[in-house]
Amino acid sequence: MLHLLRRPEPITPETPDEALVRRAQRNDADAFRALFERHVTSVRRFLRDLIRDPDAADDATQETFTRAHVQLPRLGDRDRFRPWVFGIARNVAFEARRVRQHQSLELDSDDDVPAAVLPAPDPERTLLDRELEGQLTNALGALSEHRRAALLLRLDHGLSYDDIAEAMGWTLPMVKNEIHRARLALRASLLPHLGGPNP
Amino acid sequence: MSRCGKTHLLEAVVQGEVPGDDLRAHAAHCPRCRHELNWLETEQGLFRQRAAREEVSALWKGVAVRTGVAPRRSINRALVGLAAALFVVLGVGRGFVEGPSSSSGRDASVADSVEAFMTENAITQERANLCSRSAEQGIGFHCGYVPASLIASR
Repeated sequence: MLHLLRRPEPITPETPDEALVRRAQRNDADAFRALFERHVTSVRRFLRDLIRDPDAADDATQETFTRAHVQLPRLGDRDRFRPWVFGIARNVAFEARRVRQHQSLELDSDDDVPAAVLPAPDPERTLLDRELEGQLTNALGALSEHRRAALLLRLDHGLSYDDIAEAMGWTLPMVKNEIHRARLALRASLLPHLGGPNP
Repeated sequence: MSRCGKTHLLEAVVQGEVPGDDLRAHAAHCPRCRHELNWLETEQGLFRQRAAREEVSALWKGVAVRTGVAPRRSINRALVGLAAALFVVLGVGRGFVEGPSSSSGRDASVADSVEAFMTENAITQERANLCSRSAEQGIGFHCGYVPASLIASR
């Protein structure tokens, strides 16, 4: 009874995911809302990159957090919310794509991976204008969904290789191999559109 | 470009997973590592710039509808419920619950009790007067209740 009277700790940007998950598992709506606001931007961008349709990505984002809310009581490792919710997002995206286009989800062959060492751009001179953003989107779109998902989780969302393995349901060597190949393909696509090579 | 055993470590440095001052210093003199570091920092810069443009403010409403989740209101519902329960249990609001027609002096609030007491006395006095007059006229049916003082006077 007394816990009803006790005011919950205020939620701040420093409140760890683990604490928010614990509270959300006790039906604390504010905690779940905080988890949503903390991760929705990344999850939505991840889904948009996978599905490549902004409206469908919005719907998939909502579906991802709806499933997360339903499945949250079963999340044992409370500090693993981020890879866990990305795993849900990945499933939602692949289901959405399967329904929409009935595309094959086979992994890429190795044929698309450039073998040569590419010249490196100058990071100081790389500005993401509209044209380059379009090129980046196209380069990502040229990858298979699985490979793209793994690369994005690493490059865009900063997940560790272990977390990506969990989110993708892959082994660690497979994660490293897929990301390496995806990265080489991405660089080959972007190079003509980046600033001059670094001296 | 010759191979270097440290190149594969640079990604974790750029991601901020490990401290990397030594490796960055090494990369300044190692063509292979400098090349990889430039690519890693370019990729990071591109994705960071792209992430800064994201707008997702309208998505919560759909999630809230689907999950039935509503954030807590400014007043804690539990506190309001508890206060309401105390209000009823302690009898502060009994007048609202039972209404002003309660005839039980024991159960009435203090104000109700005083009023009931005075009303009862007034009725008793009126009855006594009526009975007294009836008795003098030889009529007894008004005296369902006969005060002891009247009996004693007979």
